[in-house]
Amino acid sequence: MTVLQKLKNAVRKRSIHVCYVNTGSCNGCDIEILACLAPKYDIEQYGIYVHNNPREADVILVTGGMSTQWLDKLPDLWDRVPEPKAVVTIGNCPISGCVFNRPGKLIDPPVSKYIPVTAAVPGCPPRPSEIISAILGAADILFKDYEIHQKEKKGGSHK
Amino acid sequence: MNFIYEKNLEPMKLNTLNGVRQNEVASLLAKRLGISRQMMRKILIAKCDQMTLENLGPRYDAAELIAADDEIGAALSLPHLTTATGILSNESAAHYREMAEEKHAFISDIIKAILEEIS
Amino acid sequence: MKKVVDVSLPIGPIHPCFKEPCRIKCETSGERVLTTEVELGYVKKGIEKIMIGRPWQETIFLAERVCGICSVVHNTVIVEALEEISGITVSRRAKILRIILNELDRIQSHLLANYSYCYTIEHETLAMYLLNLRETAMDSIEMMTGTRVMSAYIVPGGVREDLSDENAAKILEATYTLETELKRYVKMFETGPMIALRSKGIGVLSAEDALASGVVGPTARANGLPRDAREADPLYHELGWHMILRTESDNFARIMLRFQELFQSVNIIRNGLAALEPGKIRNGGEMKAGRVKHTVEAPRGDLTYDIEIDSAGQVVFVSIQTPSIPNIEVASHAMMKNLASVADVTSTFISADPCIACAER
Repeated sequence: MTVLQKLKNAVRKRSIHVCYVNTGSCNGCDIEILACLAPKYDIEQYGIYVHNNPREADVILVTGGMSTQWLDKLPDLWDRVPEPKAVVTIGNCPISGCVFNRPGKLIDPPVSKYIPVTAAVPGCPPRPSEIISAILGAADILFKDYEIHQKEKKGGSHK
Repeated sequence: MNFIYEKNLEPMKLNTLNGVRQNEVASLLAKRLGISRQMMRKILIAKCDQMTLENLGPRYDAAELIAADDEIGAALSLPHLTTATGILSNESAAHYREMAEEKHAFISDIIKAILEEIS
Repeated sequence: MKKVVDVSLPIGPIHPCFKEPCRIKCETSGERVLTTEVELGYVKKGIEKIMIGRPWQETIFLAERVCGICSVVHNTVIVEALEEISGITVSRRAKILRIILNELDRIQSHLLANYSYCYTIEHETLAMYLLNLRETAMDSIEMMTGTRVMSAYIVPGGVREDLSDENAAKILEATYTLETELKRYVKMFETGPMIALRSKGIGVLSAEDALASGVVGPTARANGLPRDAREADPLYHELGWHMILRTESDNFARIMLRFQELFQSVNIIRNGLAALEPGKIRNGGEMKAGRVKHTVEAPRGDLTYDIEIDSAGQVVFVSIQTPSIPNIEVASHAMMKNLASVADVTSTFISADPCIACAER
C-alpha cells in the first residue's frame, strides 16, 4: 500500500459527509437523524458531518418510500454525488414501504429499485445510536482502499 | 420541452384535489357557480398553486364567513373567488360588484361573465 | 400554469435548512423577493385514501405516522374521536397521563422548531443548546412510553402503561432542568442584537391575511388571534393553562411565543404530576358505528379528524385537517411577500414551523 493510499484511508475515516434525503417518510426518521447532531449523541466526534448538500456528500441517508416527485429526481441526485459514495437507508419505509404500502398508496417502494443501496437500518424509526453505527460500518467497508478496489475491478473487466 | 427546474405539476395538483376536504370544496364551488365539478377542478388546477389547493378547506370557511353578511358577494361568490382561491383579482371583483349594485345586468349574466374571465 | 418572471430562484428540495423536502420558488428583483410559491408533492403518501376501508385498529397506527414530530397528538385525536363515537369513558388518571405526554410532545416539537429557526439564522450555538435540551424531553417521553417516537401510548379507553412513582419523580426532575436551562436560552434569544436584526420586523403577517387563510396555532397567537383548542378542555384550565398572545406578528414574536408556551407546558406537566391520583388507567367498551369531528391542539395548531366508522368496524370516511396546511399556505403567500433579502425566505418559512409531512399526508 502506498503512502498516499494510507493517507487517503486515514482522512476518509474521519471525514464522512452526510446528506439526508426524505423521499416521502413521516419525519420520524428525519428527526432521529437530527437528534444525532445533538451534543448528547454528537455525530461529529466520529468525523461525520451533516451537510445536506448532495454535491459534497459521501453517504446519502434515504428515508421514506419513494413518492411520485422523487421517482426521477432521486437517480438524478445520485448521479451528482461524487465518488466514492454510498447509500444507507433509514427506517422501514425504504425497504418495504412500512404501513404506507397498502392499496391506494402514492408511494413506490423499495428504494433499491432506483439507486444501489449499501446498507439498510430497519426500525420505525431506528434509534440515533443505530443510525450512527450503520453510517460508520458502511463507510469503513466502502471507503477503505477505495482506489485499490477500483483498479482491481477495472483490471478484472479487461481480462 | 424539458425544463430543468420546472415540472408539470398538474398530476400532483389532481392528487391534492382528490383529497377528501379538497374534493368537497371543489364540488361546493362548482355548485355555487353552476358548472360541473370537472370544470371547476380544471379552473382550480390552472389558476391555483399547490399550497392554496391544500388549504382550500379553511379558506373556503373563511370566505363563507365573509359572504354571510354580504348579499351581493354571496350571490356572485366573490369572496370565494378572491379571498378563498385567488382566481379572480380584486379589481375585477370590484368591477363585477359595481355592475351588480347598479343593476346593469342580471346576476346570471354577471356570473357568466365571471366564468368567461376565469376559464 | 407557467408564469414568466424576471429571475426565479428555486430553494430546495434538498436544503440544509429544511428538515423535509419542499421547494420554494422565489420571484426576485435584485436581492428583494417579490413573491414565493411552495411546490409540494415530495412526501405525498395518500394516507386518507389508505385509511378508508381498513379496520379502526389499523388506522390508529396509520394516523400516528402522518407526522413523526407530533405523532403523539395524532394518536390522541384519533383515539379520542373513536372514544367519542362509541361513548367510552376515560378515567381521570389516564386523562392526566395523556395531557402530560401531549405537553412533553409539545415541548420537544417547539424546541425542534426553535432549533431550526436558530440554525437557519445561523446562530448555531443556541441551536445546539436547544437541540440538546430537546433530548431531556425525549428521554422523559422514552421513560413514559418505551420509545422516543411513535409510542402508540394512547389506546381507546385510556393509556397503554401506567406511570410509576419513580418515573414520575424523574419527569418532575426533568421539568426543573428544562426550566432552568430554558431561562438562559430565552434570555440569549431575547437580548441578542444580531438575532433581533434577523428577526424583528421580518415576515410580518397582516391581520387580513391571517383571517383569510384560517391560520392556527402559535402563528395565529403571535398575531393576536386567540385560537387554541385547549381552551375547550376544562382539565387544561384546572392544570393552569391560559391563552398566551403576542401582537408583533413577526418572526421574533412567533419564536418568543413558542418559548413562552414551553414554560407553560412545563408548568402544566408539574401540575399534572401533582394531580395524579391512583386509579384505573384503562377502561373497556364496545366499538359502535358513527361519525364524529374531533379537534385537539397539536404543537402547530388545531388538528381535526373527521372520521366515520361502520358497524363492522371499518373506516368509511376520514378527513384529516392538519395545522400545517394553513400555516404553510399563509407563510408562502403572505409572510414571504416583499422580503428584503433571499436569506429571509428560509428563516420566515421556518418561523411558521412548517411540517410538510403533515401538510401533504
